[in-house]
Amino acid sequence: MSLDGAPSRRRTARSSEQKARVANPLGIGESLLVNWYTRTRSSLILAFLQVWTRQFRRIDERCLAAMRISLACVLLWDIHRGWVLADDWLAMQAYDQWPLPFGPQDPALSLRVALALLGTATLALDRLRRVVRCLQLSIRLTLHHRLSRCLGLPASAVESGVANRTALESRRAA
Amino acid sequence: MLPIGRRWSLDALRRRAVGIWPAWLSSTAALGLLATICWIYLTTFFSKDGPAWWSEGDAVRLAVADRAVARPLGMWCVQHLSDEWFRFLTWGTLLAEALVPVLVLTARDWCRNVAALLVAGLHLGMWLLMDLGAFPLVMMGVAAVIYLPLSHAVVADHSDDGSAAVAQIWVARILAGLMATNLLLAIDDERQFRWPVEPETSMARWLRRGHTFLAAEPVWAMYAPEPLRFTGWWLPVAKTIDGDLVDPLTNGAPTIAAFSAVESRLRWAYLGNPPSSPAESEALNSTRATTSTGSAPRPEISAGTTQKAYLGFFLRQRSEHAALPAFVWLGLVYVYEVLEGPDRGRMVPMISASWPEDLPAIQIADALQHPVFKLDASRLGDAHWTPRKMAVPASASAL
Repeated sequence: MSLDGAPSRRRTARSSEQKARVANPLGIGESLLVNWYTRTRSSLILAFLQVWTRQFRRIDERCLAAMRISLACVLLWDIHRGWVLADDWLAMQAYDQWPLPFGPQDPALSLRVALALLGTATLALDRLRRVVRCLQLSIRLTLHHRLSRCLGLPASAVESGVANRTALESRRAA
Repeated sequence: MLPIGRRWSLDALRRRAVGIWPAWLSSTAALGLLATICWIYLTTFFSKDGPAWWSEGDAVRLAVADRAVARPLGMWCVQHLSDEWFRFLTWGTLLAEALVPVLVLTARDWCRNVAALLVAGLHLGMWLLMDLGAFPLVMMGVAAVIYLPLSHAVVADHSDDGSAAVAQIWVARILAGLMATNLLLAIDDERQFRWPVEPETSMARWLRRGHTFLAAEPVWAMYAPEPLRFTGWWLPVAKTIDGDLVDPLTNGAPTIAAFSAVESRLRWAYLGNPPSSPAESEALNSTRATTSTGSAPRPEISAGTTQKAYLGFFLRQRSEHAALPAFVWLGLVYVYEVLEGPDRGRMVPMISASWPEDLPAIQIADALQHPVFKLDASRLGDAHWTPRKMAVPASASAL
């Protein structure tokens, strides 16, 4: 896959040891001198793992692009939904106080600002290169969901988890 | 770290989006993404160990019948499909969740494609039957990376890779360090989940905060170990100084009739937290107090946190809008719906909180023209529990 295929400057400078490893990946000649059985077995396992890892980590570039586009659409849809619900969000999540250290004066406005910033940052990060590009996916997949969790999920998740567990344990006890 | 802009992007049109990161970093990121997908389905499969998922096979019916996430198609299925169909769906879901990681781990093309179909089908069904927000859509989008086209025209041309900029190695190392930290936090999160230890030091509390923002550990609380065996919704009942009886959520007349699935989409979507008992609230308060950053003390709450928060929200909202008539009294009712046993489908309105606190139950019963019952949050979902009646409407008792 292309993820492996892109050559870098560092990869072009191979040591002689690396070249020898490429020529004889299992190291069979050396194994006879040291410990024939152990060396061969471990080398085979390592070779298998290496091949499996190469196979496992393949991702098509078009599929990555499809994921990027679909996640961006989902994010925009989710921001729109959060925008509509901003006024009622805190009460819906059973929070009586703003859970973040900033913006407690107007929670709905703070939430909308956070959503706008998130959307803008996501779009902006598409256009920046190098350092910020790598953060794009992690922001989409991590920050967005962590922010949502921080704002919303703990109360409901904890309480429904407690309720589920309590109900199940009382049933088991019965 | 993944070359997500190499195709179908403005950068690709300008031929700028290639070779940004070292290959080893992109490979590691691809490995991490696929391993995360496997981990998600493995953990969700193993955490669903309740009888509703296995011996009874009712889990999907219980989940779809939940009013908080209701969709019209889901409610139609609950009303018209037999329990056998839902057992088939329940066990099919478990099978799909078990198969996906296995198929992805085989690293064979056709297995990966079958896994992608399973993930897409599973979450498409979820999206059609339940309103779970962005979750099914996100997972359908993520399913795309599992798919491997049979024609490997994948690796188009790398002729321009040689001229591509290679990232600074220290940035790559920092990112690799962040990935490793995330992995360690995920492992520690799992350790805390399996063998919880109450954090006592400030360092432990900081770590807890780090877990919330960074750790990749998926937490399955909604349908694990099994879905709730009841559902319900909140019904605020108020009397204004004009003498009108209103439901401040809808501004209509208060009624215990179930709302339609369409109405639930926005207004009710996240109002699905069931009432909490005082014991659970104390536990929750103590947990929050240990992680709280602010110096302001939280008010002592004797009843459940959820109902108090909802009641406070309605009172605050009314006091902030001068145009709306003030309340004389406000009662918060949880309409409890039983999903199993002989009383399946029965709706029981239970008084959860009221303002003022000594509000007579008969006032709410009269407003609803329906008997009201006493809430015992710790017994919700218990098929052997019979709620105790508090008051019947004055008109009915006169008869």
